[in-house]
Amino acid sequence: MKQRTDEPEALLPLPTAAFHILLALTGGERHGYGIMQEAVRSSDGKVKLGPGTLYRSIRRLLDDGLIEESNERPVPELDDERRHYYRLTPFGLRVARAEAERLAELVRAAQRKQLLPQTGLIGLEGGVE
Amino acid sequence: MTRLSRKSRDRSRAIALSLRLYHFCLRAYPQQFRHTYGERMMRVFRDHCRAIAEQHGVLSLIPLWLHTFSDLIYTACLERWQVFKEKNAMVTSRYPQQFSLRLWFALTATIIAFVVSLVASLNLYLLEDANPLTQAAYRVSSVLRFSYDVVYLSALAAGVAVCAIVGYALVQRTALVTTGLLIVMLLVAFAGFGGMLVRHVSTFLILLLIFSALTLISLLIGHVATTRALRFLGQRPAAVLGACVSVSCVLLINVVALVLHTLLLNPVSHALYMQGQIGDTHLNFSLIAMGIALLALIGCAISLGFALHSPSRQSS
Repeated sequence: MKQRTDEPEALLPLPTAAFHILLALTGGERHGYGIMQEAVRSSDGKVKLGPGTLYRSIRRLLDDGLIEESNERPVPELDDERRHYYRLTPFGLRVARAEAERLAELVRAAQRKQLLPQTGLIGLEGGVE
Repeated sequence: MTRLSRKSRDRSRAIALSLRLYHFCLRAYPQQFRHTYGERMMRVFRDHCRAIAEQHGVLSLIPLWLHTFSDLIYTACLERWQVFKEKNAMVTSRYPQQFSLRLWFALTATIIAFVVSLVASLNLYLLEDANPLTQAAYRVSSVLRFSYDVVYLSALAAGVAVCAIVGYALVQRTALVTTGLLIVMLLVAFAGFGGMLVRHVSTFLILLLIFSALTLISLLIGHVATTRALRFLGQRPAAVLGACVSVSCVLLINVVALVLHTLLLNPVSHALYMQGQIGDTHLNFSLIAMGIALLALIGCAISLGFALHSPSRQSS
């Protein structure tokens, strides 16, 4: 059994699939297929999670305490009761932020090396760089 | 209206078929993972199939399948690998990896039994091969010829099984040892009776078949013993113990064939056997070697029995 850690940095870098799942859950609780759709939408169709990748990542995120299962249903009468919903934990949110900061730092480094244009990146500490 | 309903029926059929196929493919995952996530994965796949088929038609299920199938193969391999690693780590941490006194005893007894049987078999070979007396006896009795071949082939197979002991003692990876053993098996076969390939192809093939059967059956029995020993031993000692069992199995066949052969031959060519007389006494070296081989094998079987007896049972 893997030991849990309280330090977000200990879990970085996150695998792409795991980060996309966390991103999808920042907007609220979602079920598996909802997460999959959101990942496609937020990546402009570039990230397509297969069921295997999705649930392997979900299991790891559950084990690490980044997400948890939720018993609540957004619209109970319209939803299949057998669906499993997931939501971000406060620790999961901290890890997602830390990963976003790490990626932003990478982008800034790429901009400094002129691999990327200087404009367009919104700094996490606020403002457009 | 009819065309619409037919289209929808085709779509439902294609989705149902996809789901059945995907349900079957889920067997690729380890049982624990399938038990927890199998149903959820099925639901996600079903929703995806429905959405894709409704938006883009039934044919769009093909690229979806390609993507899903490659994902399934990749993640199933990763899951299986993880389970394998966890199992390995569990066995390694739970049981001692060092050799116990009982295992050392069994290992020593096996090696002694192997050496003694080898000496007895070699003696038989040197004494009888190309001797006109025995050649005449072989022509009379096919059992005599067959028992002689079995003595020879089982001695070779025992050599391969001894290589398994060395392999498992030095290398921890079963796949690597198995590959090595297959190569050794082929080398031993060609070095042992490869000459037959030129003169008598059919005889060579029969000998190869018997030799392969002896080796593989003994290794299989050894594997069963390893699985049993894993309940109370670490991976390496259990594998070595299993290999010792393989050696003893094939030695049992060797000694039985040796006894059978000597008993059959002795009345026919007593004079030949008397050539092996020790000094001025009436003691016959062949019979002594055969007797010692039998005793060594009994000792080996007892020590292996002790080693395979789990400690908890012994104490109870």
